[in-house]
Amino acid sequence: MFLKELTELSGVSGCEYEVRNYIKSKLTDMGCEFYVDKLGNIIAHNKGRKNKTIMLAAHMDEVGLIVTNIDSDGFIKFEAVGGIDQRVLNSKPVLVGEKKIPGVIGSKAIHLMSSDEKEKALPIDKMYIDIGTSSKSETEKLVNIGDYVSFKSSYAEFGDNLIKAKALDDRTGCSIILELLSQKLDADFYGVFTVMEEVGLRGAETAAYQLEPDLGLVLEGTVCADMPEVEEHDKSTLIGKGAALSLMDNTTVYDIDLVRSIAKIAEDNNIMYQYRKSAAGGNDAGVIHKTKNGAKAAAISVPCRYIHSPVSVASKKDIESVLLLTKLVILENQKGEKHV
Amino acid sequence: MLKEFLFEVCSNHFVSGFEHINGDIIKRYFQPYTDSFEKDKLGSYIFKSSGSSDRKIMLAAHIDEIGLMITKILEGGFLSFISVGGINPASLVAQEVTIYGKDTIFGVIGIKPPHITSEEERKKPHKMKELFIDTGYSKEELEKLVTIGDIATVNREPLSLQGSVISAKAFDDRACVTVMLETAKELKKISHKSNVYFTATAQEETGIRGAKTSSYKIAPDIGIVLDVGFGKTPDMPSDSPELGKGPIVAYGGRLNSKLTKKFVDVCKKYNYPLQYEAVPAITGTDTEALQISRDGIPCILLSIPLRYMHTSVETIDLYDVEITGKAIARFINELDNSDLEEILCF
Repeated sequence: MFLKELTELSGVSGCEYEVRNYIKSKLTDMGCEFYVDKLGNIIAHNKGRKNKTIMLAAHMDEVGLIVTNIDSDGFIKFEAVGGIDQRVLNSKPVLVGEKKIPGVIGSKAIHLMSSDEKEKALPIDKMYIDIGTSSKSETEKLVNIGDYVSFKSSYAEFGDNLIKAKALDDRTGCSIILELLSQKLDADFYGVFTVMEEVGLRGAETAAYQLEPDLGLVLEGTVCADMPEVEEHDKSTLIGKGAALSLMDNTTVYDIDLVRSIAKIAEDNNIMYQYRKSAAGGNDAGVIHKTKNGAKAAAISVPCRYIHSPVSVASKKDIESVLLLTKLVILENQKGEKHV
Repeated sequence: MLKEFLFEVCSNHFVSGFEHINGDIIKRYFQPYTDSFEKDKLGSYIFKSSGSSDRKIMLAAHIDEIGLMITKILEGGFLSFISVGGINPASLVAQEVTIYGKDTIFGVIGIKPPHITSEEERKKPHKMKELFIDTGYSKEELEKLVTIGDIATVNREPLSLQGSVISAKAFDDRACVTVMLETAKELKKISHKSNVYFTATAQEETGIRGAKTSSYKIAPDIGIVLDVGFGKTPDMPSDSPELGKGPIVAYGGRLNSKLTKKFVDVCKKYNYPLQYEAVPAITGTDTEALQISRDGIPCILLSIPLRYMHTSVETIDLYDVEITGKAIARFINELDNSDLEEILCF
C-alpha cells in the first residue's frame, strides 16, 4: 500500500511536487510508461487489450494554506487554498514552505475571550502561524510570501479497519491508481494523477484534452457525513458501506447508463457499493465529461469523514471495494479482441 | 534535560483528579535532586530538599491539566464528553484524542465537511455538546472498552519551533514543574539552610485544591507560586509580556510586597531579566490557596509567559523556564543569608 507514504507528503494545490516525485519514482520502479504534462499532471499508460480509451483520474493536490504576509513581530498571515472550514484550523501544528518549518496556529486563551468573541468563529484573516520567532526579519529568513503550508498529521490506523490521515482526498485515489498500474492488467488504461483539483479542476482539463477519453473514471475521496449531529438527509455516504457511486454533483450529471452498469458489476461480483446521495461538491469528472466532443464519466469514491481537515477518516474496506470495482470496470470495458 | 523532562511529562496525561497514573515520571526526574518524597491525600507530589535550619520554603506548580470526560456512548462508535477544567470547544475541532479506557483508544473529533456547511454555520463556533469523539468501533465493541467517567486528552507530540521556543499541550503548568526541577538541580550543588519543598500540586484547574491540602501539610514559612501567564500575541495589547524576556513578577494583594521586592532585588543584582504585572485581586493560581493556608503564608507569584493558553499548542520559550529556575535558587540562597522575619515584618 502506498497510502501511508502518500498522505504524509505535502501537496497543497499548486505545489504538488513532493507527491509527483513520489509517484514518478514508484512508476519508474514498476516499469510503467509515463510523462508529465505542462501543468504538472502525471499521465501513465498501462498497455493492454483495448476497445476504448479509458482515463482514470485521481488528484495529487490537497487543501492547505498559503502565506500572504509576515507581521512586525514575525507572525505569519495566510489564506486558505481550497475549501476549508476555518474552524478546523484552531490549535493545529502546520509545516511551512519547502523547508517544512514547524509552526502552530494558536487561539486566544479562553480566559481572555469576551463573551462576544466566544460566540463567533475566528475568521481566517484574524489567524496567524507562530514559528517561534520574535521579529519580522527573523521570520523572513525562513519563510516567504507565497510559501505553501500543510497540516502536520501522520497516518494512523484505528477502530474497526479505519485510517486517519490528512489528504485522504485524494491520496486514496492516487494510491488505488498506483496499485492498479502495478498489477499490469491486460487491459488498456491511462492512470492520470492530476494537479489543482481543489482550486478549480485545472489539471484534469488539460489531461482530458490530451487523452480524449471515451470513458473517464474519477477515483475520489468523497464527502461522508454520517456523524450523530448530521441530519439524515445530509448523510451522503456511509463509512464502511463500500464504494460510493456519484449520480449528480455541482460539476456533473453522471451518465446514468454508465453508473448503472458499474452498479451491476458490483452486484454481480459481491462488491459493496452505495450511491452518493448528495449533489454537493464536485470533482475532476466535471471537466473530463466536457472535454472536446464530450466523454462519459463516472466517479467511484471512498467515503471520507472530516474531509478537508487534518483528521480525515476512511475505511480500508471501502478502499478495497473501490480498487476491486474499478479493476473490474476496466476489464469489462476492454473485453475483446483488439490488442494495441 | 529540562526539555527532555518537559516533553516526556507533556506526552503523558495528568488530567485533574487523575494525577496518580503517571507519577513515576515525575519521581524519576525529581528524586535524584531531592531527599524525600511524600504525597498529600489529594495526590499532590511533594519532594523535599533538606536544609540545615528549620525554615521551610514551599514551591508550588500544578501538575494537573485540563482534559475531557466521557459521558455517553452512542450508536456508530461515537462518544459524548464534557470538559475537565476550562476548555474552549473551538480548540477541540479536528483534533486527535486518546481515551484512557480499559485500553488506550484512538479517536478523532471531526466536524461535518464544508461541502454541506452553510456560510452562516461556519461563523458559529461549536459547543461542547455538538462535538463527538469518533472511535471507529461499533457501539457494542466500544462498550467493552470505554466506561462513562473515563478521561481523554488531545494528542499532541511536543514540537521544537525556532530557537528555544517549544509548543505542546499542558505546558500550563508543567513548564513550571520544570522550573522547580531546575531549581532543585541548582540547589543540589550548594548547601542550603532552608528546607525546600518542590510541590507538584493536584487539581488546580478544577478549583485550586491540591495547593490547599499540600500547603496545610507542609506549613511553610513562605511560598513561591509558579504558573503560566499570557504571552504577547497579535490579538493582545502591544505592551503585554513577551516570550524570552524572563518570568512575570506579580504585584497585588495576594502577594507579599516585601518578599516580592526582595526577589526583584536579587534578580537585578544577578542580572536575571524580569517582566511585571499588576493583579489587583484573583490571580487564578495556587496563590489563592497558599496565601490563606493555616495562619497565612507570605507568597510571591512568578509566571512563565505562554501563548495560546488551554489549547494543545501552548507555546513557551525554554529559556524563561531555565532562568526562572536559576533565579529562584539564587533567591533561596540569598534568603538563607537574610533575616526572613525582618523582610516579612510589616
